Amino acid sequence: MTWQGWLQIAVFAALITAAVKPLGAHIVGTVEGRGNALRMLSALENGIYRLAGVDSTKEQSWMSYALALLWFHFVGIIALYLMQRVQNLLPLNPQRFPAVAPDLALNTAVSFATNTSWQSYSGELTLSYLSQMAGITVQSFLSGARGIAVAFALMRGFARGSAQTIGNFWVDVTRITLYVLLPICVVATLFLVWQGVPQTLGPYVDVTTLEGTHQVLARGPVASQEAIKLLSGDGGGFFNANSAHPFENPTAATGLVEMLLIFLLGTALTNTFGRMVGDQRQGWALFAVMAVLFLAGVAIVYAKEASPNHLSSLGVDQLASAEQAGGNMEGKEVRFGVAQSALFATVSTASSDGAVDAMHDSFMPLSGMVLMANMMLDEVIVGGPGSGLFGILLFVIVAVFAAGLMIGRTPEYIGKKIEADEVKMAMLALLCVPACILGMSAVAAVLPAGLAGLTNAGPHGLSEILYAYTSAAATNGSAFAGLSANTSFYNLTLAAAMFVGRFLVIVPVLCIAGMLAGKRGVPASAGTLPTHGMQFVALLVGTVVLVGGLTFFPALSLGPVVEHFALQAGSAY
Amino acid sequence: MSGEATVIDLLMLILLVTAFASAAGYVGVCSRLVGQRSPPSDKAL
Repeated sequence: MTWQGWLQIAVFAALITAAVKPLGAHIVGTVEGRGNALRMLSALENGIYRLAGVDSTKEQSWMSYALALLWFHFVGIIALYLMQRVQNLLPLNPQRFPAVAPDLALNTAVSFATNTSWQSYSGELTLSYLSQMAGITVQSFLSGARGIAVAFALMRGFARGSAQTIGNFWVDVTRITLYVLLPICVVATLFLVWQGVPQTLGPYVDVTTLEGTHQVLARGPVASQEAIKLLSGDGGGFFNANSAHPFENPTAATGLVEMLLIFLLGTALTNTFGRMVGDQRQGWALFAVMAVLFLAGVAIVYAKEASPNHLSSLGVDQLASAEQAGGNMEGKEVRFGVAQSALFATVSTASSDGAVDAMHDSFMPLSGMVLMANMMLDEVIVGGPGSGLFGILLFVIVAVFAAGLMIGRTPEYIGKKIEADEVKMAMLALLCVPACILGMSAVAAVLPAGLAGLTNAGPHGLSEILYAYTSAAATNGSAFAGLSANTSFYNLTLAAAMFVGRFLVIVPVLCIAGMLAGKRGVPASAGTLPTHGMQFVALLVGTVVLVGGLTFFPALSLGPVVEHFALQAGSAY
Repeated sequence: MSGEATVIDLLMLILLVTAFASAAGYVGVCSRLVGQRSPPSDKAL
């Protein structure tokens, strides 16, 4: 480890913390219609409502909100599926790519509509420019907006009293897209173009290399897709190598900005939550929980990756020096080295983004375990935009319920009593993801169709399967590499995991929002558990680790933990 | 597209419709689990 590496991590943490408050205020102002910022787009907003026949003054019950959300996802998936299936007949296909195979098209459509962005394909070898722009990029915007919309519905549940409605889904998605996602993406796209990311509709370029051989350089409308890929928590790259590709991530500056974009909205929404419920300290408490879990993760990953790996027993010098980065450089982009790769990997898995600038498959076993655990904790360490906030609020409900049982009082949070129905829905949402991950991994680990995709035997093979289903169900989308997932078996089962991970969580969250909105607020008393201090932060961290982490401990023991000990004994997989 | 591809596409679409119909049913299940009345009084779509 080097001080420069730690400084890099510290600078990133400081910049993200600095952005929380102003961006949190901007989000609540624009989505709730309180602020004046960017209201010049209101004519466009009203035009969209008129075109879509939406009455923006009418709010919805939680069931109506949930059904509208499902309907919107359904239309989005069908549209993206059909676009891929007939892309060979559509314009903006200079490379003349054929239609995408049905199972792959289904997997990709579900993947991007659910904000997962699992990619069983190489973008530059599979999708036309039209599919990338009008399909993938559009769904990146909309899926990100839908996650934030659900978070707003839940925030209104806490903020309102005796209300029957939790907002209007169509209005929320429109405002979030127009006033939050679009402006940031315009700025980020221009920055990326300035740094060298391509943005063109021209065909791929045939160049002669210095060695005199011919090479085709893939390019396209990369920068515009890159910005929303990171901001929306989507993570699906234009290129197969994702942010490890020099055309997606050309400089150290773009590396830093890309990581900031990934965390920007997820962290800012904690402040938005505080503002919505009238006590910003509540938001900072949630931010503190995310920060503790994130910093613990990045410290472990950086420490493990900066240490010599098993090659040191062969006499390979792996110490950091002026001439080499040191540590475990396998699978890492030499431009970014260990520290930025460790940081990027932790940011990407702690959020639901799933972009990569290094191959996670090549990380040391315990680092790989941390990356998996980040996703297994159900998107509570920042998470995706919106999904991180409602994910951690689910754990809050469980934590205050457990604390209430311990002290013998009816649990309450921000003036709302937490009763059996809320806990029932929270547990339903929290358990469906582990059940899906563990169940599907178990099936894939025994069926020939599942085992056929493995390129590594032993515990690393289990890690590859476990990582794939974890990434899908946690709507992350990053790949461990090493698993050949473009088969009918994996395309269909991973699509099912993404579906379960998105909708079986969102519906109970909206149900909780509806129940809370209908309740009257109760004033704080001497018996109220303070939820803005360090004591509550510690309680919540403990709940997340115990409930979320221990669920997966047996499976992790069979994969990365066994591999770690095998490595100490000289066996590599 | 060939005839075989069209049949597979139809199967995929049926799969999607079934999945979303189940998800819509899940909304009703959650509602009943917490003892709320359904369907909602206001129109969803």
